[in-house]
Amino acid sequence: MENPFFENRLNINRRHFLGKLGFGIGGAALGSLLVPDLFKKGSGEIDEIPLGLKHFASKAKRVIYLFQNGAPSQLESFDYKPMLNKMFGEDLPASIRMGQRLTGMTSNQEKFPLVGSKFAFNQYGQSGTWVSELFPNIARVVDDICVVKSVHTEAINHDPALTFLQTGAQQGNRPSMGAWLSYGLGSENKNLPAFCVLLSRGKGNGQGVYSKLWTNGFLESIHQGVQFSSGEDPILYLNNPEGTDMKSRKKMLDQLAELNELGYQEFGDPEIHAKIKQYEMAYRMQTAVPEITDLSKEPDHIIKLYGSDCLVPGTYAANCLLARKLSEAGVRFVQLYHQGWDQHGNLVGEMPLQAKDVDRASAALITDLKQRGLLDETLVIWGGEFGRTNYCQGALTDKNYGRDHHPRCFSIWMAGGGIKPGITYGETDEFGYNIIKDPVHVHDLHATILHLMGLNHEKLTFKHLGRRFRLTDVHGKIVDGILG
Amino acid sequence: MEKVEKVVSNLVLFLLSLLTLLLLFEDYVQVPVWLQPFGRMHPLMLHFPIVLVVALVLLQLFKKHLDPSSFEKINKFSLYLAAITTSLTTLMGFLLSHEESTISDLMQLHKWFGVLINYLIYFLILVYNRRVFYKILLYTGLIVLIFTGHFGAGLTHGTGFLTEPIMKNRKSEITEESALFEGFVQPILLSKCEGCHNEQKKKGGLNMSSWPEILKGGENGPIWIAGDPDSSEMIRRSLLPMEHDDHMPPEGKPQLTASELRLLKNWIRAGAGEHMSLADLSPNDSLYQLVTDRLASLQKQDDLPKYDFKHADEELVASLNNPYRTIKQESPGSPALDVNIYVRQAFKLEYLTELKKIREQIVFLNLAYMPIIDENIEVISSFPNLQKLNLNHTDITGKTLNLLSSCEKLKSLAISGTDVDIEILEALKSFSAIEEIFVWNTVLTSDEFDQMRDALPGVSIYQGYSADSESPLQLSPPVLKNKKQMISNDEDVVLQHNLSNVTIRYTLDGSEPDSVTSQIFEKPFQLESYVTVKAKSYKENWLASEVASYVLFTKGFQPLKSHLIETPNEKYRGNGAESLIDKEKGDINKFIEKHWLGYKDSPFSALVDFGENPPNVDEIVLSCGKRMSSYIMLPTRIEVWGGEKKEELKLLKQIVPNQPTTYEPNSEEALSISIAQSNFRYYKIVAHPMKRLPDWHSGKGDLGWVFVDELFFY
Repeated sequence: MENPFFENRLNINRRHFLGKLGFGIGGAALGSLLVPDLFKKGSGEIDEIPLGLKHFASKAKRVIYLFQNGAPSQLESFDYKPMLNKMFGEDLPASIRMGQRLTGMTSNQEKFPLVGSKFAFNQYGQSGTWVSELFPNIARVVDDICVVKSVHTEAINHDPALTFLQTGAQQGNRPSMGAWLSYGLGSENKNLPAFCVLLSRGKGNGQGVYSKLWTNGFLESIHQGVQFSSGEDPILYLNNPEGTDMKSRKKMLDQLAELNELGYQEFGDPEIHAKIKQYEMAYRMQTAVPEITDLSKEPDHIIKLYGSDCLVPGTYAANCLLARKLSEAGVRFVQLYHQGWDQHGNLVGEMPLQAKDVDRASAALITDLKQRGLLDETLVIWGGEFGRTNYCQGALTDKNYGRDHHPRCFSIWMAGGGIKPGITYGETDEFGYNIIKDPVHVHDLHATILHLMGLNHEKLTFKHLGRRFRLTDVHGKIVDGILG
Repeated sequence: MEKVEKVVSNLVLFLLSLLTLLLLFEDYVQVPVWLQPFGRMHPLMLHFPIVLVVALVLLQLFKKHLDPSSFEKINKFSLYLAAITTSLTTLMGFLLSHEESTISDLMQLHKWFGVLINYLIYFLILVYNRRVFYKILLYTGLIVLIFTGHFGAGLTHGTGFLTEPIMKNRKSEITEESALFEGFVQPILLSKCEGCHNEQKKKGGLNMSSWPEILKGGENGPIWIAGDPDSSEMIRRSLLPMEHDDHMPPEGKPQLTASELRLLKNWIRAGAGEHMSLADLSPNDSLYQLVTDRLASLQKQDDLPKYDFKHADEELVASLNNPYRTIKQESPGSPALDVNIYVRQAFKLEYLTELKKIREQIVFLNLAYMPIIDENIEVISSFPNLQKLNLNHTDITGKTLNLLSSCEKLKSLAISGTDVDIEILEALKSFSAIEEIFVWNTVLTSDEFDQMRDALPGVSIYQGYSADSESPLQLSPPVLKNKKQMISNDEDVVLQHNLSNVTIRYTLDGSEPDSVTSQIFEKPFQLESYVTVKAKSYKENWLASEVASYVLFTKGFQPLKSHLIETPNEKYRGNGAESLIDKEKGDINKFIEKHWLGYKDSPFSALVDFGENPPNVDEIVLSCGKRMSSYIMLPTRIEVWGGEKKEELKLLKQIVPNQPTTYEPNSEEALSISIAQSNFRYYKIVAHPMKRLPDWHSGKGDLGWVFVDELFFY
C-alpha cells in the first residue's frame, strides 16, 4: 500500500470505524458496553448488526413496486364518494378546503366545482372492498390485497412528490428506497442487480421519469437501480462485442481487474473495488439475464393471465411478467413506473385506457406470485405520488372533467409479505378531500416497508456530510394496522 | 526442596496469623489509601486458589494413573501454591471489604467462608501425610470454595445472576394492565442499576432492588422527584458526560439506551407512582406511546420462531456462499439458515450435496428452476429442520417425494410447473407438518385437486390460474419491428407478434383490416411512398386484437432549404426551419424535444426551396402532433401555396382537416394535401391553430396549439 493514510481516510465510515475500534484500544470498554445488549433479548439494540442481514425476522424478502406515475385519481379507483355525485357542480366548501395550497394550474380558477366518479363502484370479495369498474381484475383479487385510502404527502407537483416517495426527501440526490434496501439487505442473487427498474408508458397525459429516482445517492454506486430497456437487449451493453467469446471476455475482465487493483493500490478509493465487483457481476449477468428474459418457456396460460400485451416488450404487462421473473430470481427491489396518469383534463377519456393497461397485469402478478408460493415472501405495492382533487379542473361538462393534484389523501394498495390481506385501512371524509381516520404519511409508508423487510428504519443509517441519514429522515411510524 | 517447603509453610502460617489478628481487631482497622490497590486485586487473585484447589482434587482422583514420584512433586507444588495464593487472596479480600461503608449479610458470609478456606488449606499442609484426613479436608475445602465463590459472584453480579436466564423465562406476563413500574421501569433498573445497588452491595448507600428500598434513596437523598425528571438525581447523573465521575451507570457498565432513558424521564414526569398503569394515561401522552411501543416489541418477540438446534459454524457458512448459492441467517441471533440457489446453467450438483454440512440449520431452501431430478430429493430429505421448500420448475416427477416425509418440520412445499401427477398424493399424506402445497401448472385435473383436498384436510392446496374458466381474451395488436417511422428506400417493413400461431392481416389504404379479405402478412414488404399501415392479429380461441396503426414515411423529395415565415412560440422553437426537412420524426409525448415547432398566437407558415431543378410534386404531407390534454390540436385549415418566385406565390389548395369531437389519445398525424402535379421551385405551407377550443374540452374558449415536426413532398 503506497498511501495507507489516504486509503484509510477513504475507507473509513461509521461502521468500519466502530468495527475496527471494537478490536482496538477501546475494545474492552466498548465491548462491555455493546456485548451485554447484543445477546440480551428485547433490549432492541441493533446498532451493530452487520449490513446484509435483517435486523429482525420478517416474512417479506423482496419488493415489487408498481409505481403509477402521474398520480391516478383515488376517486375513480378505490375511494368511493357518492356524495360528490350528489353535489355535482357545487363549489367545494372553504371549510373542507381549509386553505390548501393549489397548483399553478387551478390557483386562478374562480370556482371549484365538485365532481363525482363517472365510473360505477361495486363491492367485491369477502372483504367487501369498494373498487371502480375500471379495475375489474384487481377487484377479483381484493381479498389478497390491503387498500390504504389515507396516504398523504407534502409535495404538490410531480417531480418533488415522486422524488419524495422514492427517496424520502423532495430535493433529490438522496438514495432511493430500492438503494436503501440493497444497502441494508444486500443481494439475494449475486448474478443480478439488487435493484432493477422497468419503465412503461400509457396513452394518458404523462410525466417524465428520470434516473435520479433510482439513484444510489450517497450510498456506494453498486446500490444504484439498473434500468432494463424494452428493446432486444433488456440490459444495454451486456452482450459481448461481436467476435468475442465468453472465454476471452473473461480473460479480458480478469486482466482489467488486475489493472484496477493497481489503481486501488495507488489511490485507495473504495469505488474502484465497487467497479471491479460490478464488472464481475456483469459477466455473471451474461448467463443469468437471458434465463430471466426468455419468455418462450412461459406456458400459454401465463400469457393469458397477464394479457397478451405481456409479449410486447416495454408494455406494463410485459414489465409485470418480467418483474415476477426477476423477483423470483432473488432481485431485492423491482421498481416499475407506468406513465400517463396525469388527468388534468379528459379524465373520462384517458383513465379507462390507463386502467386497461395496468388492471389485468397487476392482478395477474398477485395471482402468479400466489400460485408459486411466493406471495408471502414478496411485498407488492401499487400507487402513485399523490391524489387528485375532488373538484374539476377546467371546464366541467356532463361528459368530461379533469382533476388537479391533491396531496392530502390518496389511495394505494399493498399485498403479500407480511401485509394483512383483504382489508381497507384509513378513511377520508365524504368529500374525499381530508383524512378522518388513520393517516399514513409517506414517511410512515417507508418505515412500514422497511419494517416488513425486517429492517428498523431508525437504525438503517448512512453517515454522510457529518450526519446520519435515513430513508425516513427523522420521521416515520410503522403502520401496525396493516401488518398481518 | 524441604527447605523451600518449610519457608512456604511458615509464610502461610505468618499470613494466616496476620489475617486472624486483623479479624480480631477488625473494628480498629483503617486501610491506608496506598494499600487499597492491593485490596482491589482480590478479584484477580481469587482465580488462582480456585483453579489450584480444583487441580488438587483432580490429582487426587487420577492418582492411580500417574507416576507416583511425579504425582508427589506436582501435588505438593500445587498445594503450596494454593496455600500462598489463598492467604494472599483472603487478605486482599479483607482490605477490599473495608472500602464499603456497610457490610451486607452476603459479604459476611463470603468473608467467613473465605477465612475458613484459608484455615483448611493450612491444615492440609499439616496433615499432608495422613491420607484419610487429607482427603476429607480437601473435599470439604472444595465445597467451601464453591460456596465462597458463589457468594462472591452474588456480590459483583447480583444474587440472581446464576439463575437469571432460567428465571427470566418464567417472568410474569407483562400486559397492558401491568403497573408501569413493575412492567417497564423496574426491568430497566434491574438490568442496568441493580448490579451495584442491591441488598448486599449498596453502592452510595442505595438499594434499588425493591420499591420501598428505592424510595429510601441513597447517600445523596432520593433518586427521583416525582413530576420533575430534570431535577431527579438518577436522570441528572445519566445525562452527565461519560467521563464525569458522577455519571451513572459508571463508565464500562451497560448504559441506558435512549429509549430507556426516555421512558424513565416520562415516567417520572407522569408522577412516578408505584401502581400507575396505562389506563391512567391519555393515549396522546408520550409515555403512553413509549409503553405501547415496548409492549408491541415484547409481543413480537414472543411470536419469533424458536429453534432448538445449534448455530452452524460461521466460517463454514461463509465458505459455502458463492455467486450461485446464497446462504443467510434468517435473522440476527437465529441459528436458522435460508438457502437460495440461482442460475440453472451454472448449477452443479455439489451446490446441493455440500449443504449436508449445514443440514440441521437449513429451514428454507429455494431450488426453483434448477435441474433437480428425482434422485436428488434424497439429499434434501436429510435436512431435518426444513420448513419451506421451493422446487418450482425443477425436473422432478414426484416419484421420490415420499422421502421428504423425514423432514418432519416441512410446512410449505412448492412444486408448481413440474411433471408431478396424482401419484404424489400418497407421499403428501405422509408429511406430518405440511400446511400448504403449491401445484399450479401441472397435469393435475380439477377432479384430482378435489381428491387431494379430501385426502389432506386442513392443508391449503394452491391450484392457481388456469385459462379454461375464462371467456376468450383479446389478443394484443401486432407490433411494427421497424424502429423508426422513416423508412429508407430498400428497408423491409416487418410486422410481428410474439405469440405463436398468430395471423396478422393488414391494409395499406387506410381502411380497417378484416378477417376475410385483408392481406395476410407473410413476408416483409417495401414502401414507395408514405402509407398508413393498419393491422390486426387473429388467433384461434382468442378475440381479434384492436387495430394497430402506423404511419410510415419514405424520404420523398428533399428540398434544398426551408425558411420559417412565422416564428414559433419561444418555448417550442425546435431546431428552427431545419427541423422541418431533417427527416427526423418527433414523439408528441416528448413535445419539448427539438423535433417540434409549436404555434399558438400566429399560424405555422413555412417556405421551402427546391432550387434550380424542382421535382414533380403531387402530394404534400404535413406531420402534426395531437395531444389534446395539453391543448395541442390539429390545425383548423391548411393552405399550400406554390410559385417560381418567393414573392409571387399562388394558392394551390387548402384543406380543412376533420376535427375530433371528443378526447383522443396522443398521436402524430400525417395530414396529406394532394395537388395537381407541379414542379414549382417554392412551396409555402400555412397551418392555422384552433382559435377557440371546443366546449367539450377542459380549456374551452382558449387558443389551441399546432405542433409540426416534418414536411414531406411526394
